[in-house]
Amino acid sequence: MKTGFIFAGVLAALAACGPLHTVSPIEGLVRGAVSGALGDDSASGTPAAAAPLTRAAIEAADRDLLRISLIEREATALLSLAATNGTKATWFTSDGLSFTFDRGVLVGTRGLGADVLGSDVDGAVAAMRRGGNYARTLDFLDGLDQIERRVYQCVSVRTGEETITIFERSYRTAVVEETCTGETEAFKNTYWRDSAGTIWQSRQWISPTAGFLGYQRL
Amino acid sequence: MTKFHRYTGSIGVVVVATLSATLLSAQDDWRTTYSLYGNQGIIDMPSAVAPPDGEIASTVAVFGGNERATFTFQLLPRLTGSFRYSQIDTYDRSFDIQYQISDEGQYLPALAFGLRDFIGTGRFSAEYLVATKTFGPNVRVSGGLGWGRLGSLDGFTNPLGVLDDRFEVRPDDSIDTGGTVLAGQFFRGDAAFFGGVEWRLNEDWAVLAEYSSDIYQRETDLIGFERKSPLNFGVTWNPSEMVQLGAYYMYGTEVGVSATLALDPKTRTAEGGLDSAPLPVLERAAGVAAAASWGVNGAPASGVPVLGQVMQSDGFRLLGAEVSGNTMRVRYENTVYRSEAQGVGRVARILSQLAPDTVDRFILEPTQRGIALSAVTVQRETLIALENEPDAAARVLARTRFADAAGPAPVIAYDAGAPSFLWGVSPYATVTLFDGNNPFRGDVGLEASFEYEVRPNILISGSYRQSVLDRSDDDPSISASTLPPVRREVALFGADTGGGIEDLYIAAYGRPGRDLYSRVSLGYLERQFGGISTELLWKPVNSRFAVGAELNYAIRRDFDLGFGFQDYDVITGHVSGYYAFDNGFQAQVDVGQYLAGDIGATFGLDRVFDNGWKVGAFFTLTDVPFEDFGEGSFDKGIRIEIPVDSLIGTPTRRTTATTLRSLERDGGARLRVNGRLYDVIDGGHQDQMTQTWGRFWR
Repeated sequence: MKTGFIFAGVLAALAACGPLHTVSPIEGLVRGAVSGALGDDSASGTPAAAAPLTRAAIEAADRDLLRISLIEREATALLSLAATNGTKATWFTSDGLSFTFDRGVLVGTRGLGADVLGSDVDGAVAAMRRGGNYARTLDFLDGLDQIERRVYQCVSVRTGEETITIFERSYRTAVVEETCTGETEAFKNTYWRDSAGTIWQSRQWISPTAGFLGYQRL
Repeated sequence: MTKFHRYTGSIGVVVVATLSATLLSAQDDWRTTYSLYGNQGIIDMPSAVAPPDGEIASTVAVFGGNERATFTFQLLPRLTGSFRYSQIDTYDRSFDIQYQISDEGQYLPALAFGLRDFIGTGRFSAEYLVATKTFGPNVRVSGGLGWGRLGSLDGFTNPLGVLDDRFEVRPDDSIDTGGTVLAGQFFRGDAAFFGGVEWRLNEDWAVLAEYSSDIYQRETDLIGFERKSPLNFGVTWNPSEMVQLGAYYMYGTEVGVSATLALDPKTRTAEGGLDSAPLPVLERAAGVAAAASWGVNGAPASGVPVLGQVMQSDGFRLLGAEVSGNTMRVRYENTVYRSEAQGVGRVARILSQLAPDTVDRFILEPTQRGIALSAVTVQRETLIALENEPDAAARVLARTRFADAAGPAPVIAYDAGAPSFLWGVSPYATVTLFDGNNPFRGDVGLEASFEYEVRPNILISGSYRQSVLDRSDDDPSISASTLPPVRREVALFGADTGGGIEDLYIAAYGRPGRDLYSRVSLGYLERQFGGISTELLWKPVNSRFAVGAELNYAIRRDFDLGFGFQDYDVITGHVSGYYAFDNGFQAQVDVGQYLAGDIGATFGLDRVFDNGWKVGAFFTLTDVPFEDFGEGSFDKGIRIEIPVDSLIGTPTRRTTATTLRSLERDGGARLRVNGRLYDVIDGGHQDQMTQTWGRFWR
């Protein structure tokens, strides 16, 4: 619950860069919290990935971290949890992109240009355990500022088990493949999910232009 | 924290590339070929291939002493309008219109009719009926029947003569000053067949051949154009979807070239835009800010400065906030986002983070120029329930209420401490089009401008320009008329001094009452006139209809662009009606007295795309007789406004606008005033917000 406010504080701190602003006690508090979460990186503004990311650094952070790659753009970033809303968690990069996952499945992006504005993932989440067929919608924003709703027919299949290692820590996961076909395109998402239901690693389609993302929970 | 950086295999997320998104190849559509006339055609002949709805194409074409610059807009899916500036022996303007009667079927061809140069002097005057049929994926054949110029080669007696003998003779319907619809000669006189073929070699290249039924009599007589053959040949290259380049062999004697730039208002750079991510919605929680005081029961309002800073970092300027009972009301100015709906969505999410837990309801009051535009009520639970849900924008809209915001400002005023004095220096370039002797007259130089905000609704604004060109020897004459020279001496302003005060004025905005907006501007309002301008507008928040009244006292400024005035002053003013149609068209009628003291009305119709592009046309008829008005007979033109964010991808409220006038003269001339009310407030009203509501969650 606190994280959302911290993020708001980060924005306030950024705004106060000009000489016209004084630093309020609340901002100071927020800055301290952020520095604590991410070590010196956030204070100095240098990318965390410039220093090798280690399990120790991950453990030292007091916030949940997520690593996302935008595959088409050959870019990767470390994100921190900014807010949770029900089962949805929104993660931010430091340069103003956000990604929202509902129980590990992508429901929203902001700042990519070709963003997902919303999605219903109840079918996908339900099918993770035993597989199944369901319809899924993805909302996009078109060039005329209208929401374009696309419907996909999806099939989820559990294709096997795999032990994955993320920064020295191993997870026993089931591999679930979700294949969705729409009117103009088809895509296949892959999830690595442990027995408790946490998706530790996945590869998911965003939009026709933005392509796929890959993520790892750290 | 980290920024996205180049991906390297060793540190990247492990991904198993099994299947890429398979994009089914988009429906292979063959784009419209733009002819030398700048509208749909083959080379010099028309075709029945309508451009995509909304497409804006600018074409420059040259061959054998003929120069044509054409602006074509697909007004409606079936209706194409063109405005052309051309030279044969002298410069001339012309308008075309083409209507798509039917689209191509499996067996039947597409069918269209068109009127070319149907207003004015009629130098290109022609009418036609044309059919186009596609054979296979790469061959398009067009053929038609033309009248006027298109019936001038081997014309036969007009088949419409069976209806009425009068069709067999084509009268000359134009008047000396042009500007009138030549309805009396439509589809009259001899007719002839024309036709041609387009053969597409690949996605980028096509070769063209046609038989032209235009004998080019006028060009032969006036500029010695040589025409040996009715056959034209050409090749076009489309290096991108936006560009068509063409080279031609014309009429057996001449080589021609053309270049077309086609813009589609419906697509934009970076799709939904590169706006940074909004703050996420926060479930109600006892955060630090939520516990901060909001000035209830006389306690100091420590929550407001935090809110103000967070909003400022997201491009909003908080003007005031208050909490009363379960409702929090904020008044703010959106300084970054074109869409006020997006502004409402972003501010509402910020409030979900910072409002006290007891607040269930947010009332958001966007302002521009210091006046509140509307009061938008959003329920906190709605935000929490619908964030990133399917169809979330429409579902929020259904639960959102719009009301007038003329009431008092929120109790706790907030001053962001933003600098109230802004200044800048930038280069400028202007083009004056279509004065009688020159196709265009350009000017470039430096502009220094400033804006000082006395209060949010009171602005002092000014700019000074210095040209780098020496224009003192220009011949700025636009032929005289019997009217006072209120516009035709435009080129004399600053001609000797090379620059001066462009404008310098104070403007005050207000909300005198419910649904009412006011403006008073005083000073050097524009390059040619100073004085005082007052305006009152009535526009309910949820109304498609608005009425405004403007009353101005204008004095003509000195040519040196200093502080002095010339000996001409006038009371000018209009009563204006505005109506926003369901289909995106917006109409405006202004009735009143113009700068030369003439009385009349201006009619304007704009197609407004949901993303802010506007393309429109206007004309003004006053009690000045056409022969007194001079060339063009009356004032008319087309205008385009492009929101800059759709070009650059990042959010900004800036727009770029152009007006192409046939020829601005003294009749039907209006005072130019910055910041007229309708343009200031429209974006904050229900209709415009609904248009862009898809951006609420952006």
